[in-house]
Amino acid sequence: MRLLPFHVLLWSLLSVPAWPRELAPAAQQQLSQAERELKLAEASFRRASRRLEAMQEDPEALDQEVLALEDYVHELSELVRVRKETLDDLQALAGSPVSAPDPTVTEGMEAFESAVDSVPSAEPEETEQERLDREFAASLEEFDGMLLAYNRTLEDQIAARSAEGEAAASPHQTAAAEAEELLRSMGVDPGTETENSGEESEATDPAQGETESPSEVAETSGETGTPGTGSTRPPREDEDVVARQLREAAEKETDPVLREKLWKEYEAYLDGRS
Amino acid sequence: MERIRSVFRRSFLVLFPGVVFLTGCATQSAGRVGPTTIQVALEPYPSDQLVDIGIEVFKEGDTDEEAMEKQHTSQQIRKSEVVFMAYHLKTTLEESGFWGDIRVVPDGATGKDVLVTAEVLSSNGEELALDVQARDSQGNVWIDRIYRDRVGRQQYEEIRVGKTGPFQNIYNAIANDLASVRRRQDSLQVRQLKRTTQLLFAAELLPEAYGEYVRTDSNGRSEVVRLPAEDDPLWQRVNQISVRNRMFFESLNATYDPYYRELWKPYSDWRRYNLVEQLSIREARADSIKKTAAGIIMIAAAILLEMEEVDNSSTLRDVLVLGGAQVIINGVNISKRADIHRDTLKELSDSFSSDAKTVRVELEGQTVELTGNVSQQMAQWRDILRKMHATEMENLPVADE
Repeated sequence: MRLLPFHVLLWSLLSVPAWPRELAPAAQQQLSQAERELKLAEASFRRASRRLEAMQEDPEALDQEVLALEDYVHELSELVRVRKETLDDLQALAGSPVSAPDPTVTEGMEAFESAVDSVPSAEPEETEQERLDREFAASLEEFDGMLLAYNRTLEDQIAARSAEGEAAASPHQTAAAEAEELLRSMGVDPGTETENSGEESEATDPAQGETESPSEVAETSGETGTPGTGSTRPPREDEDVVARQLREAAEKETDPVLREKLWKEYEAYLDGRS
Repeated sequence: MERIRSVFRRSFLVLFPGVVFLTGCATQSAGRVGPTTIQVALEPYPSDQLVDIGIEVFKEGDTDEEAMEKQHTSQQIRKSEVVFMAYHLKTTLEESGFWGDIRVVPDGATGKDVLVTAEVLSSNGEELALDVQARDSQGNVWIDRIYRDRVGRQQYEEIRVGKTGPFQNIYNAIANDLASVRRRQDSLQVRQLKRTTQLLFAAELLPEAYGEYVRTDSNGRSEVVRLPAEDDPLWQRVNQISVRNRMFFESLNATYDPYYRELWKPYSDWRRYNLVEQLSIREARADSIKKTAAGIIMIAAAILLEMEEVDNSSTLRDVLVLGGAQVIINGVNISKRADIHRDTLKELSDSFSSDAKTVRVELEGQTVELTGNVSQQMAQWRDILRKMHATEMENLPVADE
């Protein structure tokens, strides 16, 4: 390697032509990457800080959790600082506008650059440990970003669900309401009856039946041709002991289909006797 | 086999109550838990004395078709309720105030001082039975017991949505048993426990570096034999990963939380109607049997009258025969009612299980994706740490001879 004389180097530096404002593509890419990374780190720091504030105000938050999150926020703030410094350095390198190179000094510049390139770098090469440290730090950062993005998506989903309201989230309510109605129609109260409800419900059915007017029963009879919804009927004059038993069985029966069959048997028995 | 071992252990402990005290294990008979109020810590423990608990999603137990029909439930409902139950145990433990971090965790997770696992033996609106084990990171058994309870309509009147359910006694009993063991531990024991948890986490992540810091015997008991230097860079990195592991559990539980809250009301409704239907079916069957038996007796009496040729017995005999036949008809009618109740129950079960499945599949999608991402990341960290450790070993100065 042959070092250029000092005066040549000095002359070269003083007459360094101004380069165009436009950066080389690789440098522009580096700058954009650094800006993106800084924004990502700042966004992560803001989110984690908000979460920490909320946790610090929460009286039920555990000290351990708060401490862990404080450490995490501190690490993120360090990351933001480092990235900002990196971006500032890159911007400083790329920032000063320079004019177009003077073609008459190109030859000298080429020699200068060649000389500079041949000077060994003042910075030592990265060791394996340092490379692994850097890789580890990057993986932590990637994980933190993944987790924060996941949490944000989850919060958005929960907020969307709350906005939809209960009606959209509980089709079970319809099934439950229908089941309740069905149970009540069979004389079973889902919410208020005691263990011995069976006997009680049978006892109350005739009372319910008695409130229905004969005209309603008559109208139903007209439509279907058979006695329908009435739980009781006035006893026929020719009713004997057996017929009375049949009538009482029909009155007590809560299943409408089975009750109908019993009423038919009652009618058939009395008609058969007469 | 587990049941036999459990029963044997319980018999042994009944005969030797001193052993119960010495081991600190809460084992009792598998009878009903009965009314149980949760014990609440009067004063919180210092932060370095807080024991962290991990709860695995409960095992579904026997879910073949016959078992499900016998329990008046279904496989889909069971799949949904095991997540619900694990999370409900978490919220119950949080109420007690004895613990640090309490999270529902994936199977086989490390990083928690005490791990609770459970299997559902039976579950419907009337009965719940859980086979519960709790073991700490040192391998000590805290709980090995079957908790069982049977409820009536009264317990459903006492529900507080999002807080206490019809089988709250079981969850309170589990919480009380854990608290009972915790109260018997002094600060040194807790510090040793937490240190063991940390080192086991490190040993799993990097066995080359920390495998020899904890010794585990053939009984599964672990003991710390060496402590790492606090300024050890590798140890500091392990701690950084441990923090991320805790944050992962937190995100996982944040995913479970809305599922648990959304499922609460429909699950409670299903269980309540399940109870009512079961009671109605049994009642209808009992009535049916009684009436059918009564009818047969009446007809038998009529036949007897005929055979004995009692004077003027024909009318009575007719009444008995017809009346008896009618009573039998009533018996059949009532048993049909039991069928209707059973059909209603099935319809309710299908409706609930279908809707719960929709929500559960979405939950599984999220948690599987998150858990997968974290597992991948853990593998990457393991790889990096392994290389770091290897590099450190290479750079160690060689002692002069």
